[in-house]
Amino acid sequence: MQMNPVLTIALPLILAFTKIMYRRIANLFLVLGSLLNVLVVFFIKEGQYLMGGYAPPFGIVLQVDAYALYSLLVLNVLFAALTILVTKKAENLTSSSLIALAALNGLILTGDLFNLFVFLEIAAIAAIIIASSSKRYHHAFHYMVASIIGSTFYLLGLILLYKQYGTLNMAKMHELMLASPGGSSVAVILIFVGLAVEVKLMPFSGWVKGVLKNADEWIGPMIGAIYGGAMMIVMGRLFTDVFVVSPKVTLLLSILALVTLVGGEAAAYDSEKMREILLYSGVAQSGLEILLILNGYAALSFILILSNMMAKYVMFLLSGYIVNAAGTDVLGDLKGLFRSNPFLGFAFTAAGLSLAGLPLFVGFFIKLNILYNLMMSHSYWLPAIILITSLVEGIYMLRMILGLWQTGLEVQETGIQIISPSNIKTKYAVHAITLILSLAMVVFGLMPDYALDLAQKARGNAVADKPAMMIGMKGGPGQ
Amino acid sequence: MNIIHLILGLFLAGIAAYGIGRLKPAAASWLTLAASWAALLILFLGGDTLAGGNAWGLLAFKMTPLGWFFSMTLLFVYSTNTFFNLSVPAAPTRQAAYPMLYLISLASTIGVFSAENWLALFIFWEIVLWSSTFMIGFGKPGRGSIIYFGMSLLGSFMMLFAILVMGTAYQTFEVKGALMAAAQSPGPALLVFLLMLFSAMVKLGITPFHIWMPEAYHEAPDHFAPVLAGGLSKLGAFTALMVTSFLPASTLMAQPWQVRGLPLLTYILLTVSAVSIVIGTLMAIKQEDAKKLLAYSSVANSGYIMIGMLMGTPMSVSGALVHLLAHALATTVTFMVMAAVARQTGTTRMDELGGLLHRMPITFLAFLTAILSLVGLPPMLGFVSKWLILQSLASQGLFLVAAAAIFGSIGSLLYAFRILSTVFLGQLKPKHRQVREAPAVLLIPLLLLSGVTLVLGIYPYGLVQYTAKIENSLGFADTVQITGLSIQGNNGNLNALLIMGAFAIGFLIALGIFLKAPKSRKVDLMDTYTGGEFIYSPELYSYSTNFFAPLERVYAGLPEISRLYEALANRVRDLGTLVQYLFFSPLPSRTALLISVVTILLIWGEAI
Amino acid sequence: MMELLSLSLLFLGMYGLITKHHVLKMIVSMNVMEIGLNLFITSLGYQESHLAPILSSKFPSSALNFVDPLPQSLVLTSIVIGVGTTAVALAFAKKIYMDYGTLDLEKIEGRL
Repeated sequence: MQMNPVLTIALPLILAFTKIMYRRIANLFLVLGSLLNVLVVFFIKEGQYLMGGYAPPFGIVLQVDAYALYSLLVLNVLFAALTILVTKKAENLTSSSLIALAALNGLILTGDLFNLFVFLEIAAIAAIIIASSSKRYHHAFHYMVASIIGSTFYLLGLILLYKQYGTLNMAKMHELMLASPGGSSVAVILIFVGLAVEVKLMPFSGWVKGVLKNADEWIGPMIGAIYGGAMMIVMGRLFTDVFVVSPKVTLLLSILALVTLVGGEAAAYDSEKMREILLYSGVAQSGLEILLILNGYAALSFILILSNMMAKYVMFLLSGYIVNAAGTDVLGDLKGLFRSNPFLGFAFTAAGLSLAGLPLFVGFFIKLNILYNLMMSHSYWLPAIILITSLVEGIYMLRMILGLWQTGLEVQETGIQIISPSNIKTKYAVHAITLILSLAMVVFGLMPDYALDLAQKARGNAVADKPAMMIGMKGGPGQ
Repeated sequence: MNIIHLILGLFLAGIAAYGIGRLKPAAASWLTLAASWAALLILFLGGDTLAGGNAWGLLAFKMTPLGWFFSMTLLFVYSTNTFFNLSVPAAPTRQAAYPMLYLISLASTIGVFSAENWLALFIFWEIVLWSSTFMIGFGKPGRGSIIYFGMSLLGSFMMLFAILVMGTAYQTFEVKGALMAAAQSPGPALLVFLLMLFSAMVKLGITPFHIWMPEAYHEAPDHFAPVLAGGLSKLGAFTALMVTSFLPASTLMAQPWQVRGLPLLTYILLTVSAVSIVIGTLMAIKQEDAKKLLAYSSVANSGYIMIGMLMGTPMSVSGALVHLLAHALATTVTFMVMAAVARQTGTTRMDELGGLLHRMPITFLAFLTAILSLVGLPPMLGFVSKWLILQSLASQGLFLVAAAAIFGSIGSLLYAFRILSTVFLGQLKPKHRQVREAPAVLLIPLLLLSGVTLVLGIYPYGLVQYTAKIENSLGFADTVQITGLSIQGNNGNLNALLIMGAFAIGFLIALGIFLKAPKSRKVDLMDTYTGGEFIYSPELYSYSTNFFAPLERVYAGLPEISRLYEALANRVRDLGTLVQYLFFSPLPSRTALLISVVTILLIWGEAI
Repeated sequence: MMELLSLSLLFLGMYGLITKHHVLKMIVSMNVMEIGLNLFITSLGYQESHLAPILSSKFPSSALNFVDPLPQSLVLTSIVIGVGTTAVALAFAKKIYMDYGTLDLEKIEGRL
């Protein structure tokens, strides 16, 4: 049975609006919507889907390739898991969350640039409303200002491109840009800046601190992990498959990405609070991902995005619950927390170690391949910078994790249960989800060829890709 | 049974130990003991022709003589230490992960030593790193584990960089092949050489990378410190020896500037190791805590090992390998003894101990053996190794480095005597009157290890023959010579049995005198008075406090290297604060400003 | 000409966002910026002496010279999005006032 991918956009939208009539079972709508989405994703086949029967390049198409399919799968599964876990909290947020789901799916699926703008705006508004659920409206307002400036720039850039090339369809735009790339750089820069705001690139990321440093267990995974990952996937598609970026612009933007990487890790090193550390680490990682995308390592960046998304999801989710239980996320006050919660501690540790790039976890192979492929092009200083920032990241990540375990014989247990024992359903659900995700990281870490094959299949035949012979794949180097 | 089965078996035993440990902790300790001794037995019986294997194409293993030597040393240390796991008095839930991490790190060290390509080696190296970090965290709270992790990660990343440079420049990751290719076409080979040696120096704890040792050893739980000190630092020696054998410094530089026949680069590194010996010895002399003192002694001894490997002559490499084993055995014993002492008395601070000879005689005997080996006195194994190293230094004519090495030897006598006498000799503090000897289960490993030290010291020929075999396998032209019962050196021969004989005769003479002479009268510590007053606090009158004050005054005011690292960490913190201030302001107007300014800059940058 | 004017509106809006820290003034600046953008888009579609893209009795054929209608549809969408975001922003403004008693962001950030 084959389903049309537009269902992943339409179903949540319909449910979002009909929920108004059934306010009391609104939660059910949310869970239903996300589960139905997951179901639909399993039945989508690759190909191009026309909207309204208009053929491209005049009509809007949804294009489903391996890249989009894997992204949709991860996105919808993570979203569904979140809705199952946090149903009580999301009472006021069901509409905006469903709209967010629809918009994120649309972002990944669409094949038309203006359609992307529309979904971008919708996703942004939904995110802003979700962010405002923490009752800190000035932070949400900050996010809104940044987001509106971003979309304005995006539209400005888009319209300049339209003026030059006369089309809004992604594939056609790519063709035309390849043929005559000159004079489009200003537009490309504007589009990049517009998306960079959402993607948390420095220096456009001023809103991230306000929104995420007080994030609870809904906002954190949603905006910290799911949104970041989805937006980065969109960036990946745009800057690999659609736009042709001149080498000078690539260099300029790569400098920006490098500044983000270094600055983000330094800022995380300086932080004393768990959520701040996580958000700065997310900023830094997005710098690395953009760097890889811009320089043609699309397969590696894809797998990096997915792994970061899962790890950040687990860590933000747990930090939300920790803050609920302990009342604070200052690390100094949380010593010994994991000794009363060993399984959740293991999940958090696994996610953290995978982010730091230590073996037995999938993050190691990703980092190894990034460095290997960068060195294959004989540039030594870039891997050196990445290694230095990884060193800083490893240190602060381990400092946080060791402090949370603090298993010394002389330290008392805090006795705080992260999820109160009375809430049995949540307890088991959170345990299950986080442990499954962290075990996935271990499993992929032990058998990296599956993950790397996936990446290769998704992005290996992209036009601007470098041939990625990956360590850990069958027949890769080192065999 | 091949290496992969061995490693996998240990991993699975570790996971099983975790599961069992949550239910019955004692059972987990027994499982750990059984698993490590079984692994030791398998490796011993398999010898260095134990079958290799290949998993997932990437993890290829092969047992070489060098690898077998190192694996046996590590396995011996780990296995004898498992006895100490049995006696740990700790609440069950906290320690359930300890046996698992123990066995995982053991399996990974075997993986490091038998890996056939650098990637597999690195993977297992990192697993050892994070598992040992968590195990250190089981001890006293403090910064020790994170300093250990940070420094070791620095070392591993340097090694990773070097590995990837080799892999991309020479298209191969195979351990020997990559190094030999680098030797042939030294383009980036100099970088590779330096990075690999630096990473080995971090792991061994050689200045200026030694700052993690005192903190980590001090804070590590007493039952893990022997493994950490005696075993894990030797991983660095492994990679260093591989690198210096297959990628000698003489091929790396176009102009062969030489000092006494050695390339300049080697000489510089030799000097650094010599400095490490001196610094380690001096810092050890002024310590008040026994574990920190032993940590600095490890810093000094690592210098010896490095010197032996860098010189590259058959005798020096043999000396380095023998010293490695001697140091592993001796340090393990000393840390185990401190663990036993801490278990019985509750402290490792030297000014709170004293006179334990009367209460823990067997422990004292083991400790004496280990200390003699560390100092390098016959008839212990440490003497053989120091003789080999000093012989090679002398025959190469490196008198400055030799002076540092001899200073290290004599200085080690100072701090060795200090720890021996303050802990065991001297007068028993009143509160320790009820202390009893360590339980039998802890005495077994102590006696085993000190026995091995003694036996190998008297009859080292089998060991030295094996090092000759290792040198053969590493491609040395000629190896250390043994004729009959003496090891040939340039300036004389070492006949260990003869020395033991002389020592034994001397000992018997002294014993005779002791037995014939009138006995001394034992006086209690508090049985004294000063100026007509009576005394009440035993701590002040222990003669171990401020033992070497005159010597310490000489170098008391010198700065410590750890301040450099702290300064670096603070600079990173400052950068982070700057970034937070500039780019993460809470006002939207700042964000808007940044967006506009950067966009303008980008567009302008594109246009020019 | 029209393009320059609309771009200057856009820059004016940006200027407002950069320099003002009163919430309502920022919302007004956002609107000015969006208006500028919309005008810019429409003006880009314009070509000299072309007709409005409406079929009527006077210009019945769609093969005649029309101004590009695509940007105008984009602008429609953009206007609607702008309305939505302004509504949410005003709701936030009200909430900020209820929480802090002032709409001046500099005063609020100082209070945190």
